Amino acid sequence: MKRRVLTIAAISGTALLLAGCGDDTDTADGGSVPETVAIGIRADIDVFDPNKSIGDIGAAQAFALLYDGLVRTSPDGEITPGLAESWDVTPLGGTFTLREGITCSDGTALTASDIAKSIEYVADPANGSPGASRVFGFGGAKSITADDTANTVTIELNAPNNDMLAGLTNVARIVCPAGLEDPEALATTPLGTGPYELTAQQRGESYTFTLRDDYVAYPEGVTAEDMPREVQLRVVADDSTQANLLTSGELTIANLQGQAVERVQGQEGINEIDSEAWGVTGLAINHDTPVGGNADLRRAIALALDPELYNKAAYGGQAKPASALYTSNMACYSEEIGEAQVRGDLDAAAALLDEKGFALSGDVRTNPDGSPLTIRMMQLATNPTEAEYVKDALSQVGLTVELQSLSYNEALENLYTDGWDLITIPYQSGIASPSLYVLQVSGPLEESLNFGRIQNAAYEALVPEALAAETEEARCAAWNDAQEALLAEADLVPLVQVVSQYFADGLTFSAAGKIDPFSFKAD
Amino acid sequence: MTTTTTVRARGSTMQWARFLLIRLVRAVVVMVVLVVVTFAMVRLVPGDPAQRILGMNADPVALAATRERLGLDAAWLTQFADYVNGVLTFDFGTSFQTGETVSKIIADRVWPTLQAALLAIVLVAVGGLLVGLWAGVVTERRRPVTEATFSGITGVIGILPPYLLGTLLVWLFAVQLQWLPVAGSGSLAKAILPAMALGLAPMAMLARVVRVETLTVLGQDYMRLARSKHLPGIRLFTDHLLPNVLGPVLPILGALSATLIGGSVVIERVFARPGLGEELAQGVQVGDFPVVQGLVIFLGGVVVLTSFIADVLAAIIDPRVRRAVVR
Repeated sequence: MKRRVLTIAAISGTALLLAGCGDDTDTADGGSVPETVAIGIRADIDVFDPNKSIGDIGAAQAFALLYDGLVRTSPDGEITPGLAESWDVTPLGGTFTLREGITCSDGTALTASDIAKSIEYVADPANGSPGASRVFGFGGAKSITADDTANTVTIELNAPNNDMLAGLTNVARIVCPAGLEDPEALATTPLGTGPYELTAQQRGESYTFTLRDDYVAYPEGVTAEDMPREVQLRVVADDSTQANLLTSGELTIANLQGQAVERVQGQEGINEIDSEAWGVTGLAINHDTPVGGNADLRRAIALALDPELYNKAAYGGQAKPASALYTSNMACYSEEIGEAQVRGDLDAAAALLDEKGFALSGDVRTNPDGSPLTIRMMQLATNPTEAEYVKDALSQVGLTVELQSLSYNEALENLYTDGWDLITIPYQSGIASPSLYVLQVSGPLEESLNFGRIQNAAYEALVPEALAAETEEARCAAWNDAQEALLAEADLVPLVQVVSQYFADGLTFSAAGKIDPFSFKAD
Repeated sequence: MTTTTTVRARGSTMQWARFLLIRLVRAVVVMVVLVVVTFAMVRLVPGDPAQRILGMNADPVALAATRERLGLDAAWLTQFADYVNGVLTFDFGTSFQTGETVSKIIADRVWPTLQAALLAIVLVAVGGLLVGLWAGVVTERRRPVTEATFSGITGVIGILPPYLLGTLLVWLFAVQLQWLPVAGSGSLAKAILPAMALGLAPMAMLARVVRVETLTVLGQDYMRLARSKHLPGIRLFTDHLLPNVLGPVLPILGALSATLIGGSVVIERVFARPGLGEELAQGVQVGDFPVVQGLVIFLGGVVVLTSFIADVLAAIIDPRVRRAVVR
């Protein structure tokens, strides 16, 4: 019964703030970054254990400061060295050669065996580490071993997963031995190998992180001189308050939504930095109901919905319309597949419904057997306009949509029942690979997150092929065939790629979900 | 004469005892209802906390272990018995989310809430009384313009919700004038705007009540008699006007103070204060039963206690209040 729970962050969105003050530090290219950078976060950090946290992006931001992984992603999307300086991987695993001189924030030296133990903890299903399948694939880990003399860690998988490296950029951050031994203490006292250590905290309000003098695992071209000496995370739940803090100069970077964006957009000295999600927000269809189980009806729904109009209605035009599942910042992106999808064509949708016997009776359509046809759609309180748009678009082709207004928790409870036909939901994950969709669109409900109960044999056959491919070309060919298999059956309908907007006063940086602490550049 | 005095004193003691007993029983009943309703409420909210804690890829073994650890697999009656036992010993359990004890969370978060609420209560009490008394005295002799201005301003401020008031105050005093910090906690300066956002509307409402009471008292025979004796203004105020105005006003002040506690939920979000209100909001969002239960009971207890103290103070200042309750 592997399943469930879309994080609150995923549905409601997230926000960050940064603030700078004090002296500046010269960067390699001659600019300067603030001596102190304070990052405001929408929700408090739940725990400092990266293997237990289900926190918002604020927790992820803290982990990026406190914990390293074997590898990391560079601002241009390349996988670059983290604690490992080199690696040799195949779809069935890999060997990682570690950097010399890695230490924990408590000063202890870290061995290859220590790192293997930390990865083993994540791999153990009993520990329920979120996202473990992104690293170890759907077959799990066969073994994780270390050679302290050679300073290497070797991961062996039960089934091929050529996304292991990509998964390691976000999951399986290394926890030092004392932290692994005492998870209770780790919840409040982080113990990692990252560039910063926690030096002060006031739960619920602010956290201060100080750059470690003994840190060695800088990315190429970055030194301690390029980093802020101090980073603060400030808990600021309200977007308007974040904008006020930015405007008053108490903070220098904000990640805002809605009206707060309009307040700061275009202000002198404020840079806008967009962070595009990996994956789309789309329409999930429950295949276990008479509505969702009818492929013709699903195709007609997909034809009627216009991602451009949906973006304007639900996101004020701030997201990017999406007709395909793989977004332009993901591996195996294909512009052609997106362009080939027909969307927002109400006439084509109506014609298909006519052809398949969903006849109009007055203004509304009935089932081919003449019975009433009502589509039940879950409407989330966090963004009710999403469902409003779908209802309006489908009503234009004669389909009756009954909205079920639900809180996040109610929707979550309902998601795994047959009490719904449609819901808009984020298909997003901390991995820039098509494999991010697999758990949500395939497999039995008991072993997956396939809340739409999609049964697409072609897709399921292509997934192992894609994960086992030895070359990038073969991999993408399989993933794109898999994507087309889903789109052809209208098993889900991509609508938008969510864009997170950061506003920075005198700074730029790279952000993919969270701010890369190695990427700060002054104007 | 001595007998009469003794009888009166005994009667007064009995009256006090009955008054306190009635008020205590009322407080206990409210707390019992609160305890039962809170337990039921958090469990009627849909969603499995174990699933939320472990996330999307939770293994069934880990899910079952977490449910057991949290006591979620036990029968409701067992959970209720544990919960009541915990409440009676001030042990509200451990947060599902952070692993901290709820008592520690309350201890860590109570000051930002208390600081703003106390400051707001002072604002409501002092500001409402002074403004109301001033308006009562000034408008005793018909001054339609002053009366209309007072009613207009207090009427508008009185209906502004704390969220809107807070937003306006921040825009003016923090963003434009930069006299006070935008948000945060710790210093007194950071508590001023939240306290104003919380307290200005109740202060305006209280000022209106105080003005009416002042006008009523000023029209009484004993005030006319006192004035005819040419008593000094200060004695007129402290011996005759203030006590008679305070009697009926104190219970209202107590009720308004109780609403300030509730208002802190919204205000703490606007001002990014790590108080009990913000913690409660987050607890509700993620279904953290122990935190929600503990905070609701604690905040409810504070409200009940505040009302109790206000009632007792009113009874001390004005015996008519005590007699009315006992009757």
